[in-house]
Amino acid sequence: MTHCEGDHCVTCSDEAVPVKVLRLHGADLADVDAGGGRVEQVSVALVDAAVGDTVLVHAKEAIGVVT
Amino acid sequence: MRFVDEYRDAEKAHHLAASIAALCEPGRQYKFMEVCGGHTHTIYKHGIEDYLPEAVSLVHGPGCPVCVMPMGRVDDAIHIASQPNVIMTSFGDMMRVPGGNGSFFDAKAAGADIRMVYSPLDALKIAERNPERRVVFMGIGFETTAPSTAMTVLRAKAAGITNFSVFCNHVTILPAIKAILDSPDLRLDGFLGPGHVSTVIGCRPYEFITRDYRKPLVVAGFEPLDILQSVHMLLAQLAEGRSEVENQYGRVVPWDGNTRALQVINETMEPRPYFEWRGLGFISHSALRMKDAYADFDAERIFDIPGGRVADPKACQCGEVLKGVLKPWECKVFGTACTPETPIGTCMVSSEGACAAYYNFGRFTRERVKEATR
Repeated sequence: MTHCEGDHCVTCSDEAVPVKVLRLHGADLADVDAGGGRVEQVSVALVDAAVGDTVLVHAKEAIGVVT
Repeated sequence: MRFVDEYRDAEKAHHLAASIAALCEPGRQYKFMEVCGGHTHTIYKHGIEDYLPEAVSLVHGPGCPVCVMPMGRVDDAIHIASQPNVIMTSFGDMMRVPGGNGSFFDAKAAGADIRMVYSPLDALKIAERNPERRVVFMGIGFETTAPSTAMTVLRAKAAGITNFSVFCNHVTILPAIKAILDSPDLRLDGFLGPGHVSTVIGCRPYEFITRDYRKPLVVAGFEPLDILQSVHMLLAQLAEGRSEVENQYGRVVPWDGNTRALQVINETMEPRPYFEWRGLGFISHSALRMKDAYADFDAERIFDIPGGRVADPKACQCGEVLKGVLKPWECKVFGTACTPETPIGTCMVSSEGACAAYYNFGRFTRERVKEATR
């Protein structure tokens, strides 16, 4: 069972783990590099993110772009 | 790794520690509260306190959403999960939070269908795949997590998904900070502002703290150098007699926040008249509920919840820890009856909770100090 432990809390995303946008699916969804080659789909509806940008993702919702 | 390694440079940390010490006025004690549980986690994990002079102490604030969840709401959620045909979905860190009648894990063991998800979007997918079931998402978290819940409700509505609802327990940080500032038993010199909450709400909402309470606040990032630099900025403000909102975490936090995220929250949710915070009691306008227009997605209206209040266990001193009055190890049950495996209080549940962070990373240091001074 995975739960909030170690470096990362799902609820709080306590550390800004940099997540890079790999490709966009429309304006709403994107594939990101979640680390270790793992690709995850997240929502980018609330930010202006382009391929190559680093975004701050919280519960699979990007809430900010890291500049 | 970019955005990580450069904020963990030991040499820079030593430089910063030296200039922090130089800024301290001789004989003066400084007490800063880190509001966010993420900061608490970083501070213990990287031993930040060892870099600070004795005159500077960090007080752990209420910013761990799991830790402030009152027992009554956990019981309500388990009540919903136990209704016929319900699938309850929750973030993993909520699973072990004890209510008056056990935790989600206990309810799951007793037969309730409770599933761990990483996002409300995952919960919505479960609803799509199980049209004959009623899928409820346990919405918890500060302004960082609320946009994700709000977006999911908007998506459910747009897609015409009718078997999905949210048990909304989202809380807002500003009323809690105000409650702490108004609390008579704590004297603080300044705040490390929550970095990721600020990504959403921006820096402006903190201005009442610097203006009305004359306490400086620096919005801080989550890497070790972020914390040290923010402490430095707070001390510089105090040395210069300033009391301002400053943004140390500019690489992520825009001054005005994320207006689109705020819009989706405002579209779907509104402040509750009051909400109970574990250890802090009832705080007005400190949490969000679903708006009338989204009543169909509001588990609180769909299911008849008991809504009872359950007093915290007597032995538990989470309240004092959440207000920063007690350090985790000063609690009577810390590390004995209350451990991350068998938590009595919520501060021991989440890795962001002050007690769990201290238990996992800090206690050995303290034991060594105790031995050395024996």
